Amino acid sequence: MKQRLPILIFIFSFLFAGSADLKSQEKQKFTISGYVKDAAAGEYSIGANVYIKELLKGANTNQYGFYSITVEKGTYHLVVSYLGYENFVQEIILDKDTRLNVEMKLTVVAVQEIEVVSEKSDKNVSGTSIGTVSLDMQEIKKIPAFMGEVDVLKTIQLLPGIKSAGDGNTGFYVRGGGPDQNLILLDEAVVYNASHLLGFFSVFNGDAVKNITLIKGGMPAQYGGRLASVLDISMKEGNNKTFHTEGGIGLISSRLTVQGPIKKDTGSFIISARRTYIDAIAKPFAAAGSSLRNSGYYFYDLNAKVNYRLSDKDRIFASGYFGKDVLNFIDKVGQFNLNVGWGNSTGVVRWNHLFNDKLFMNTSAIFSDYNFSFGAGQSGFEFKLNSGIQDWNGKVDFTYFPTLRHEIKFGANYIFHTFTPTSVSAKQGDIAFDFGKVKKDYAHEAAVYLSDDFEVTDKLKIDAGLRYSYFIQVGPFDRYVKDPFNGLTSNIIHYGGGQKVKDYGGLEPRLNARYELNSKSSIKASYTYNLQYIHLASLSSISLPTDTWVPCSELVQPQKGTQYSFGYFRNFLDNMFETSVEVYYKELKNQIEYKDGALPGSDINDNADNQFVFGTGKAYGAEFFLKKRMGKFNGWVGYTLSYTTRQFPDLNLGREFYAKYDRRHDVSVTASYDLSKKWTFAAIWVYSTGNAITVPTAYYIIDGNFVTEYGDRNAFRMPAYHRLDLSATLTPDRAKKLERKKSRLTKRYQRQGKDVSTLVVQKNWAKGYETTWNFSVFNVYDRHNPYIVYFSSKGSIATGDYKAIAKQVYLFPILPSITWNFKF
Amino acid sequence: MKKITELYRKKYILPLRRAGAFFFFIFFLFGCTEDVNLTIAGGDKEIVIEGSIESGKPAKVIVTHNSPISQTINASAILVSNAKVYVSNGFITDTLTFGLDAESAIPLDYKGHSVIGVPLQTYYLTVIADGKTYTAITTIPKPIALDSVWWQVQPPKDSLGFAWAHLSDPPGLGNNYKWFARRPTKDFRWVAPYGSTFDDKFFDGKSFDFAYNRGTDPTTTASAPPLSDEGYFKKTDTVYIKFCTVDYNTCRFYETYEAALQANGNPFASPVSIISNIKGGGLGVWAGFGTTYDTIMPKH
Repeated sequence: MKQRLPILIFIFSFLFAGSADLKSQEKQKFTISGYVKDAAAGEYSIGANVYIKELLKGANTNQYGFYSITVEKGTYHLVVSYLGYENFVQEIILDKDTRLNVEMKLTVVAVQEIEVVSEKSDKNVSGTSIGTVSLDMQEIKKIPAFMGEVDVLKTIQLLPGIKSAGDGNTGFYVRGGGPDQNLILLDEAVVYNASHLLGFFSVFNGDAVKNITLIKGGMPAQYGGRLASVLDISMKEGNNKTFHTEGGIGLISSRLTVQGPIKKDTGSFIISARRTYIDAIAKPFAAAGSSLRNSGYYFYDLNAKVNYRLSDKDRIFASGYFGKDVLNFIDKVGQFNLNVGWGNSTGVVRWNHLFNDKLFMNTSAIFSDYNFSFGAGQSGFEFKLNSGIQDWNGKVDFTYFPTLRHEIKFGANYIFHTFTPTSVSAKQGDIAFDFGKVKKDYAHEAAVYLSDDFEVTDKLKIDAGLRYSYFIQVGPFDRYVKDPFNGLTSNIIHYGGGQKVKDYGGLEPRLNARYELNSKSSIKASYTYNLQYIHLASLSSISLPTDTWVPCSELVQPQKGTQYSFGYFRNFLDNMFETSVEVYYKELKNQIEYKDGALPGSDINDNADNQFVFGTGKAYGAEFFLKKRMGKFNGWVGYTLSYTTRQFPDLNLGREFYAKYDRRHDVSVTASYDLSKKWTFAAIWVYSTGNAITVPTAYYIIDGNFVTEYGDRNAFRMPAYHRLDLSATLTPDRAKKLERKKSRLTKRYQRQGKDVSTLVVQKNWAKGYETTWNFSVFNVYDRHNPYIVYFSSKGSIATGDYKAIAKQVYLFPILPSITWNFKF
Repeated sequence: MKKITELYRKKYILPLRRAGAFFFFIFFLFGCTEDVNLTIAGGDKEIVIEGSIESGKPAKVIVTHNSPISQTINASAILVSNAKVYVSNGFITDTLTFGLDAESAIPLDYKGHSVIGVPLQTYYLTVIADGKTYTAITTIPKPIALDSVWWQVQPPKDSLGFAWAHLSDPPGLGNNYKWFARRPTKDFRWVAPYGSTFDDKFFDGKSFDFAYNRGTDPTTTASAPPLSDEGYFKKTDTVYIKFCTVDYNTCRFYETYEAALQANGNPFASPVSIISNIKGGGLGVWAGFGTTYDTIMPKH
């Protein structure tokens, strides 16, 4: 019933769109369209604002830098604005369909001056999207970074509604959703585990990333398969004008990026690599023959992308990401060895085609893979474990710009999933242990969608969308039927290859509406209903790379999420300040958790879903955001008040409990100050209510051992998390340095009576060479933020002083770091 | 880090835990553990029953209370000495009596007299304490003897090693085992190392060697051996092995109990709920053991 209203609005909006179009046909209209790109690098600009000055109406460029505006015949001024670039203004006589590709020049004056003249930089007020944030890499690079490594995921966790689970946890949590409910896309390919080193770093190398968009509410219809959010990251395409190299050397990692034209103005490439060297640094300090000397941990990333313009209407892109964490351990006597690795691989080939000035198409073939492997050996015993997920994905997306008031999107998507929940093999000498066959689960997932971003009146704009998704689990598959009394397998039902095991499907209506109160403020509302057919199962109390992805099955129903959100958006002082207040309410169904008492390996020789229990979730909250966008001093303050609960009939005696990432209060303050061209200072301060955890409320003795008895699930709060980080970035002014050198030499020449006109000042650096030094301090006031809390015993029962003592582990005290970055 | 327990059935879990320990090692280069004062409301007062009946022996049952997490305890504060404890084999009901037991973790327990454990027989426990009645059922499975046992040096040690055994698991799933060891002159009771409970899910019908380290008795008053000797049997030790079969519910209890011991303090594990077979709201276990005994003789 709840879904019917948005579906009706969706249908009406299209009917209304039709009538509006009929009226519009009475007058002659023409289309101006084209691509917007950076003049220096040739990179296409995503989200640039293109508008007709006389009408104050326009559009944003899409993910591929394309725009299309259809207006009545006439003479206009076309304005293109993009943060950090000079405004582009050109008079156009629109008496026929016109193609205009725009090259934007980087601003040479201070950012704030450009922004003041940019009248349309009010996307947060005028757009229909609610709960959507776009971040610029330049902005992210200013923020203090852990060990100097610029991090996209860490930065988005400073925004309201998006939470980290604390140091040492992978994943992030959006408006009460679990880490598996975030759709993380890198050039359209799904990244299943976006973290390195248990979440201390993300897999996104800042040097290879062009644009980041996060949608936490009001998910448009072209996205699906997840309940909570979309994090859409676009890789740079590479400079198609000249060759460039940039990189950085830090205390624990280094990175290098090379980019350049394949054919000038037509095609380009970029390759970016990064590797940590904690292992190499630590080894010299380890004693010879010690475990540390024989062991190590590192991760690496490789991003690569090429693009080529085949014609004015066709472009192709191919991009890939490959990253891995590797952990090796050999104990000091060589008795025990361990090899652990996990990582993502993605590959994407895309074809952009313009059918005409109003119809844009992108077709993609995508491969995604996440794999975790674990191998161990001791005294002739060998053990191997694998888990992972692999997708083959095909999608086609169309954008149709019929009139200035409509932007219609439609498309289809198909994914073939292969899940490896847990695959184990082990042997002792010649004796192989029976862990069953390598279990893989197979599923097809498909979706079609249609949406219209429709300006109903000058004040009211609606983005209505409808998505239909379908999921089918297919064989080969073995269903282990368990005897509830002795836990043994009583029957195995076998499904042949391709045979249907179970299918699900449903409509997913989406509706965003904006009502502009005036040019500086608007109210927005959204309704979204999402289905998610894959789940992440975690036995641990924290998120780990060992968490496994499992499909919907006969036992596991699709996750269902309904979100209502409402927001007030207001800009001040010519858009210098953005403010917003958003409230949301979310209901989640078919959430999964492991049963009480489930142990690692319980799903071996079994179906993983036999270990699950199912429940519901609820989340609601309010988010407050104030951002200063321009000026020497900028940054933001975010505050979230939220409640997140779960209820499972088979957990916590059926009583509702707080989700572990329930945070009553969450505050983040981010500030940066450009003192001069040479120095930029930045700071962040975060505060959040402690994680909800389950702690023992009592203890008892069994076989002489201290055994804890747990209280209500997640009923205890860890101490609050807060931290201050500071950074300073030094950009040596090469021109000034040259001037000083010239002046010094001139004086010397004059003193020595030489002819100053013969003075030649040699530059000792390459053309365009730039360096920066980043100095940062993490956890400035050395807060001991708890990572875990646990209990142990002390004393003896015989002496009457036996008691439980609580201990907390914290990860990082104050940590300074330094990174040198270069570019030429 | 605890010494590894080398029963191979368990090795698929233990390497994961060692991995966890190594993750600790990496990430805790900068990290620290410190005591904290937390205010936690105590849980409900509950009865804890630790009862067993072995083939050829009468039952023994320890009855205690649990304690709020913030409370310091001694034996008299937790022992329940006025409970009524009955064990029945369906025909005879034995009334257990409270008294000293030098071989028990807590040296005061309830001992049976007339009902003696017999393989394949089911036993019913009734405990009346604090005005409530607690019941449990267990079966002593048919004992399965080890084919052989021996001591084997663990390089690079030269006189320290593990206790090894050869097991031929009878075909058919559902055999559950528990291992105890004891050095007659050094241990006052049977000691089960971590990971001492296992089932034949992964080796049904197979014949293989396996090994165990020496478990540590948490109640021992003997001074601890040097760290380098911890977990090893000496070449000169006489080692008694008690190898038991247990039923499914007993196995579930001990598996979850051992997992709970290891999960405490491990950030990579979630709190484990121990699955008790006591009905009526009590904690603990009523276990039937089908026992066989072996001895590893010392080498001089």
